[in-house]
Amino acid sequence: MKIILFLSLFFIHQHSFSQQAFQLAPPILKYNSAFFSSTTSFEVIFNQPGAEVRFTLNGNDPTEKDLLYSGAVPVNDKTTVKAKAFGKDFLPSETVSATFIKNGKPIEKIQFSKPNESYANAKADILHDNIGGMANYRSGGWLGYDNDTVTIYIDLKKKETINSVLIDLLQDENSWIFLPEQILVYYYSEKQNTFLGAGKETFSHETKGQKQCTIREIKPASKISTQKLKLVLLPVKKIPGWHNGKGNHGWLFIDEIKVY
Amino acid sequence: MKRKHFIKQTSIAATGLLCAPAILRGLAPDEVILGHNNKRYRINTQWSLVNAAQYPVKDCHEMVQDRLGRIILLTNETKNNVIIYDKSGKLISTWGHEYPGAHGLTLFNENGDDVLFICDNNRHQVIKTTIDGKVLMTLDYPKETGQYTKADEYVPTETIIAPNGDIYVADGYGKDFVIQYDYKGNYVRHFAGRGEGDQYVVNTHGICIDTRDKNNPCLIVTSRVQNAFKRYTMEGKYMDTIPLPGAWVCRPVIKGDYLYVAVLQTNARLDEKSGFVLILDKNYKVVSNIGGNLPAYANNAPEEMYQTVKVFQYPHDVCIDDEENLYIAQWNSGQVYPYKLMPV
Repeated sequence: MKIILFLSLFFIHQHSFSQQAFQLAPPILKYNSAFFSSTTSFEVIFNQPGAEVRFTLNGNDPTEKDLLYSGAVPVNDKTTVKAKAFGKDFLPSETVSATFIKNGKPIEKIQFSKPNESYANAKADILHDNIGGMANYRSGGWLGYDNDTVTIYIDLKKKETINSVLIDLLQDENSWIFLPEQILVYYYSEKQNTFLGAGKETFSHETKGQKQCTIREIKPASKISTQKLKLVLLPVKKIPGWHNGKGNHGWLFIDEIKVY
Repeated sequence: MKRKHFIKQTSIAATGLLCAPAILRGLAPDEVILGHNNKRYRINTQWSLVNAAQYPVKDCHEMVQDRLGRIILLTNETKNNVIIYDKSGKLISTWGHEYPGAHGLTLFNENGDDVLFICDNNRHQVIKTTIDGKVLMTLDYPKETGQYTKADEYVPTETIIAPNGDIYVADGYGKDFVIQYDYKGNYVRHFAGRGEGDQYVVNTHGICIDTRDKNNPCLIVTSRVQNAFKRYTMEGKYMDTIPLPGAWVCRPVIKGDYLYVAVLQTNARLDEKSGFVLILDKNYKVVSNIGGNLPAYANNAPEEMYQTVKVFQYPHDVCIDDEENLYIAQWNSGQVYPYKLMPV
């Protein structure tokens, strides 16, 4: 028994001098755009001796038994990739993810409220150019708003049955960029010669969210058929109390819009 | 019985301690070696032995070693702006309460005596002191350049002193000029600054003199937002650019044949504690990234660099001692004291 005690104390002592475990940084997902018309691909950048990247395409958090990344991965349909770095001398990284979005119904044009000058874009088709989906507000392609209401009119090439409307949003609360308080979807009724409510989504800002591009897909409550849609987004008017910018107006950053 | 029970408990606890990391990670932990090629290190994150309650820090901005071998840390904590350590991390002394924006710390051996140059962001001044804090000279905002109308426009981040005593100040958070003075503080010239063209800089956060080619000494000036160093002659004529894609390099520090620099963060993950420490050889080629990716080159330029191991949060300066150990000071990293890295 004395020997066991001695050994135990010896090991405790040894342990206190052993190396602390560092966590791997998240690998970098590299792609030209999260939006595509026929096919696209992504790469994973992470060159750390003794570590490797595992990924999934089914939405699950990667484990050490999932696909080993070894080269560019083709994407043909709507796909969410999740990747994570593992290494025997390190704690696994956080998971990084990206969702790739394929073209929807043909869009004729999209008109939108005037963004803040600093985050505007001269391209008329900026919201349907298949370019974007980078979680960096400086990457270009984002429209930034700090007003109370953002209105977007979508004209489809022809009258269609609408299954859903999708919009890409940026969440980067350290940079004062929040998801909106609400997204409202309207469709144009020829019969009534006006826009009627089709669906909405409300967001809570009570707790801090992660930095991400996030795709919100809003499905109409009933079956609708139309050529024109209207989106109204309500940016956060007062940044909540937990944030260091509390009380100020929040920013809304929007990117691509799709209709299915 | 009680005693036996105690022993059993201890033994289980000890086994638990030993095995817990192994279970978590699948294998027994090896000692982590950081960096690449001939610049690889062990790390000690508990190097500083000072009592944090008694001698607090805010941002640990810069560090130097003096001629007595002591390690000197500059922090913007006015309870003790300067903390002097021995190489083992023991406290020797502290001084300084009047540097709320303490940022740049440069040591110069002036006729056998060590003197310090402190850049204070809040005071908009450069202050020359003795090694124990007696003020010798204060440089105010450089009106002589014709570029400044008030002190607020001038936010110096770094100095370097030439062998002849000339003082070069980098206005890294102001207008990005480098201002050259003689050893008495008389204005000589200014250069760099912002503009269109390779000869200009954005966020000239650091500066050093490269004398590794003895016949052609030059200035290495940081252009942090551009992820590059820019070289100028000692007279301020632009020479060339050393691109370091992705890396927000702070101040270049040369020791022996190598240039060391803390990378505050990387473009791949801005505002996410994505820093590491970068080492360049004599030809400005990346040889090692401590906590960063294995250096890789394509078409003679480094590929974009990024953090791979979360060793550092926002590293801000590197000090290399006389035994080639590194000390890393960090900004905005939870009042963390410097880490020490020992070469393998």
